Amino acid sequence: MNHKSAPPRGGQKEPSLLGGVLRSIRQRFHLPEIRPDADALWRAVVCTVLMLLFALLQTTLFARFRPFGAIPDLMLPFVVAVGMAEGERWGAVFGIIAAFLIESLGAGGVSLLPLLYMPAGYFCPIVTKLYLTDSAPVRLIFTAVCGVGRAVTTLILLSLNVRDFSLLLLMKEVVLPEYAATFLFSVPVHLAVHAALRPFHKTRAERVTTL
Amino acid sequence: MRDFLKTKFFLVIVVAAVLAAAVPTALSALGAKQYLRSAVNVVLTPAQKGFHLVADALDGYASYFTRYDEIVAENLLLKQQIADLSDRLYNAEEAEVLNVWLSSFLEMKRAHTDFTFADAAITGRESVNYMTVCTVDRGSLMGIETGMTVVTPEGVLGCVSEVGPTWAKVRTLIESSSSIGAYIERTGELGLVEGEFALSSEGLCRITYLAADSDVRVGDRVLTSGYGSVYPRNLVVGYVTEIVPDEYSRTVTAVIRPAATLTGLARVMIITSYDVYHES
Repeated sequence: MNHKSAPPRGGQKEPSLLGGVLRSIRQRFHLPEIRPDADALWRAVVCTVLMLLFALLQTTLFARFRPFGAIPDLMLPFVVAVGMAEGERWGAVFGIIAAFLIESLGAGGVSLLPLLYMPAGYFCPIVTKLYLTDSAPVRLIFTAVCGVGRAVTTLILLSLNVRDFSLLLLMKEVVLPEYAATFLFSVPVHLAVHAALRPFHKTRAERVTTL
Repeated sequence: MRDFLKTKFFLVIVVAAVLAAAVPTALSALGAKQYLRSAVNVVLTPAQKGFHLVADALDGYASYFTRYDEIVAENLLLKQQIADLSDRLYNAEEAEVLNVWLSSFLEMKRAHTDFTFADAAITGRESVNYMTVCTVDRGSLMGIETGMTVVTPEGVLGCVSEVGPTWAKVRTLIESSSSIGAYIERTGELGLVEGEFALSSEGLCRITYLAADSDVRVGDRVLTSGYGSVYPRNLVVGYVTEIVPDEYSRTVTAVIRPAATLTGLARVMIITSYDVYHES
């Protein structure tokens, strides 16, 4: 039976203009066809809600209380947690979206966070998949390593915005408190993401096959 | 690992990340990033308000624990300030009352520049229904002597009848043993204001020895005459309320309601010195 020559089934809708444009782009660059199922859509919704929740917490609640005297970066452990739970593609995409969101809520001029969040969300699950096993210590190590990247990003942004600064003072007053707060609050972020996405991954085998 | 770096998805996502970093930066440099921000903030601002409310509530609640020592110290300081301010308020109110009371004597002082006053507080009253004697907190140690005139802003209250080191008894006009030389202000007729037991129960006294053809009327004001060197001249004694002719002595007696009464009185002035009146 030749499926290619089969006529379209009756009642099937014609693709819209946007759908046609996306299809031509996909065919031009030989990109895989995306057919999101209901399960994936629900996961995306859950991840988006969590992302908004953490963004709001970071910009309101923690901006007020400032553990260790700094605002913890909740987006970074969120991106890593999503990547660990849903795979590197999800981690990378949500890394860009989360960076865009948190920078839109902030007041900075230079955007560097997409260049940090995207690799964090992409490589953490890949490294886990190739060399490690997903566990709490591994996630803490990832958070610690990504935290160093966040500290470097913070230093770059500060050096662009602050004219006269002392590296020692910046480390003491900003970078190290931010690192400690981010590391501390990464634990509840990982737990929240894990608990929210757990219903979609009944077994570890299922999660591995999605990668 | 190399396989992951060579995938089309990785290339696309790297380009997307670079664009996500470069485009907002470029927009910020061009001063157009606010459009991007406003789009996000329009959506998230209501939620941010809600989170701010929660943060406010948590902040207030958490401060009980995180700022306990600070709050206790602040509470102590505020209590001290309240006590201090309460004292000041009390003193200010007392000063205001005293000021009003002293101001009420200004007219008397202007009319009688020769008067020297000593203020006194009433510390005791006679424990009967009609009070005719009271005790004040000034005595001989403060220069108070028997016979000194005691006045209120309304007029004469009486005179000092007994003096101790730190106290003095004041005999009011309505006391039956009291007598003052006085005259009717409108007619100038002289008389003698005396207390009478029967009238004192009503808080009244009388002026006697007015001539039978006296023109005294109800409502006339009675002033001290200054004769006798006990009371200064021209202090208000009271107002005529009733006129009673005496057919036997061919004189007229008028009942007087004293201008100054002990009712509600807390402070008085004692005239310690004045120029004795001499009829020229």
